[in-house]
Amino acid sequence: MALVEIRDLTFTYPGCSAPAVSGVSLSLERGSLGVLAGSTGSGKSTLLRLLKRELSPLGEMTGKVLFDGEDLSKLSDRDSVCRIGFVMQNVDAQIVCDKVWHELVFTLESVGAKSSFIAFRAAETASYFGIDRWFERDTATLSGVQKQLLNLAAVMMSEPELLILDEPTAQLDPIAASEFIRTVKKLCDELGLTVLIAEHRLGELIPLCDRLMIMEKGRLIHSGSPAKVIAELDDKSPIAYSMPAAARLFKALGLKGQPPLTVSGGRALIAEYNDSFTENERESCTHSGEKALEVKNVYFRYERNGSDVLKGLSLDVYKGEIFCIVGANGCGKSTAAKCISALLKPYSGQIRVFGKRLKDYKSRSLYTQCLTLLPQDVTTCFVRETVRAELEDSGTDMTSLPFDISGLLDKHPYDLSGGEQQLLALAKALGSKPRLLILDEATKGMDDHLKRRTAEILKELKSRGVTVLTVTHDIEFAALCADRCAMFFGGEAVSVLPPNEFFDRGSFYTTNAARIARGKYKGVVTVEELATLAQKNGRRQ
Amino acid sequence: MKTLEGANPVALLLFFVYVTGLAMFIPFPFLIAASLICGMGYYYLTPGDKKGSFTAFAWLLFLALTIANPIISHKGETVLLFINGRPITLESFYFGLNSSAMILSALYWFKTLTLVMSSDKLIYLTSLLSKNLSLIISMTVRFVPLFSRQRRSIKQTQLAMGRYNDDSLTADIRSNIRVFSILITWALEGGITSADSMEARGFSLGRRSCFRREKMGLFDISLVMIMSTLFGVCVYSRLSGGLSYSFYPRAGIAPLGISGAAGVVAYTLLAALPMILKAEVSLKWRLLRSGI
Repeated sequence: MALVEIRDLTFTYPGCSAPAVSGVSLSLERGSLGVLAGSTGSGKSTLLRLLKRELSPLGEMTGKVLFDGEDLSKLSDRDSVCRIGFVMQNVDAQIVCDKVWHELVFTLESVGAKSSFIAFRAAETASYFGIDRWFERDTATLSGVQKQLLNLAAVMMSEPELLILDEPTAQLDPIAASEFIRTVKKLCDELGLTVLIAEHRLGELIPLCDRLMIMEKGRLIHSGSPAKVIAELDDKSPIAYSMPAAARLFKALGLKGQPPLTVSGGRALIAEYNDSFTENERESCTHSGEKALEVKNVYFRYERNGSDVLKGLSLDVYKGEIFCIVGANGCGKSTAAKCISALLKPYSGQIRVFGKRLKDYKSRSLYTQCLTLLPQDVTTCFVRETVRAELEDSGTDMTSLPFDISGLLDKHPYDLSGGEQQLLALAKALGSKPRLLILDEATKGMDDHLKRRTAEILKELKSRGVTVLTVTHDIEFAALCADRCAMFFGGEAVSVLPPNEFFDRGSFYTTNAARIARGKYKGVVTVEELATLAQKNGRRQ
Repeated sequence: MKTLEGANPVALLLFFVYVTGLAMFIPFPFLIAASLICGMGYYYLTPGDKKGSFTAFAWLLFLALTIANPIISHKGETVLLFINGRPITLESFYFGLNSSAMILSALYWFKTLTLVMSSDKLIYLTSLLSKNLSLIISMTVRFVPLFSRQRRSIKQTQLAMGRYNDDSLTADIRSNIRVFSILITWALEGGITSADSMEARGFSLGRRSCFRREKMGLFDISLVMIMSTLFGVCVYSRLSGGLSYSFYPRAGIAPLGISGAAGVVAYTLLAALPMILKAEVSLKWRLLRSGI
């Protein structure tokens, strides 16, 4: 039986002529994991909020939402709070209390549960989610993924039957995001929880879900099992880039039928192809030999008695290249970016930017037409009320940008989607005409389509003579744009190689396309390269 | 096996109210001395905080206050010397010494209070008064450091993006104002999400219960009873005239009777209670360890 059933739902915000959600009908079975995809402004969030009464926006609504066979509006207040859980995108602002345990018990306190019951639920929930180790801590000291797990656990305290997640991983890095997604899947499998999740990053989620729904301009255009939806999907729609590598490969090869979704499915697919050519021809990467950045034996620690975060970091970045630093959480990548930008001071070692030592850049001249750092949290870049004012503030000439944000000029920077914010921040950064641009997690909150565009933007900047150093968790992104990649581990750069060698070498830290091609083709990094190579070889008869 | 910090916050708060209240309302020199010695002992035994700067500040203040009183007040019979034709008296010096020792001891007690009364203990105490007040305090305690952290990172970002390039003071002030204004927007924006998050988790159902992790156990109850008895003895001793003293015109302490001696002993015991408990715990621990 369906837990949620939506019948011909149309919703219009007050003062808007076009409906935000129009004519949506869908039903979600008990215990299933449904994924709602669609670009920014497609009405995903509005639809999700209409399913949670406390968060429903004001406006004109027609159609019906049934929860457990009953009209949603007839549900008692307590049931509506307890039986439907909602996790939002903003990791920090969702947390209300200062202590982890206090945050965890919030829902049960609200519904007036008895102390002994709360104590029991808190104990078992904390153990299940692995929160017990930081149960006593201040919420402010948690990492991003810990915070989001806490938000999830806090919602699960009241034993909801339906869990709604609105882009829960948008502020997390890819590794943390997949940890979070796995936890959600585990809940779904082990507790029979029904989950409806709106997401940008679909590659990992789609193989796990039972039902994929795609929205466009307020309409539900596709709905069904993921393989079926992908088969129906238009290859040119932006959402098609977000599909799993195996499915994209299947479509790029021009095959018909049910696409595979996982790496092993993809491997089975290319096993049917010949391997007379094992490598694509590629241009060898050349650089001028002039160094834009020289880091030598840099040591850094945050506290006198703490341990070293950077331990003898040495690396060279040449003029006019895109250099990617990849690595796990907390390995010191962001710290390295801050040291290079002179925001943190290493206690030993030397950093030269364009041949000049950092301390020789007097009175902030480092940041004028020389070096610019775009931080991880791009909201800290914004200081004005509109995008237009932001661009004026940074002195950015919009016509000179390699991308177009003219459609956003009158919006408030905080109202933009995560990806749009990244673009605006980049536009602001380019205002000071940097020759060395340092990006920290530039693809946070971007869908795969926008990620591709960002990779192209970086290449365009490179052709204009800008050197780019990017610190990222996002391996697929590094594969798209990097000239050289460095693996960061234990406070130093372990290996520095061009992407085709770099990703060929590893099996964990590599792209899905490389995983599919492993052992068969060499130096393959992207799905497109793999498809070209497979087609060149031809299918076995 | 518990120390005072491990006890129920009610007992902890009561301890500080008793010990500082008595020292302030009965400025009997022996009591003040006990208060100062025990206050210092407790402070230096409590981990956390950089102790050096506080010590320097407190003792400088003590010195200043001790010297200030005889210069300002000229009451008393025993003249030590004349400055600008005004007498500096021994009594006035004693009085100043006593008062500033009291202030110094109060400083030590309150400083220790800030170390041991963590935010969750404070929230527990307010939750006994009002559930909503304690929630507001909890939200504030979370929000204030978040706000200042965001301020720092906005300034850092603006610097690294080349927004603070003018060295002029007015430009710096202007950009600081801008940062502050965006911080307000940021806070309001976050506030909407927080409100949504509270609403989604049933805040407005209006039947809030309050989950408290601290319990009032046998140890806490006996602690409260012991402290209250000691407090009662001190108050009785004062009311029955056992703790009488005078500074003017001649400084003197009346000989301690039984009630006076009981008052001093009771106060000393009370003030030393946290250290006694600490000692007991570490002794027990050592015995247990040696038994293995």
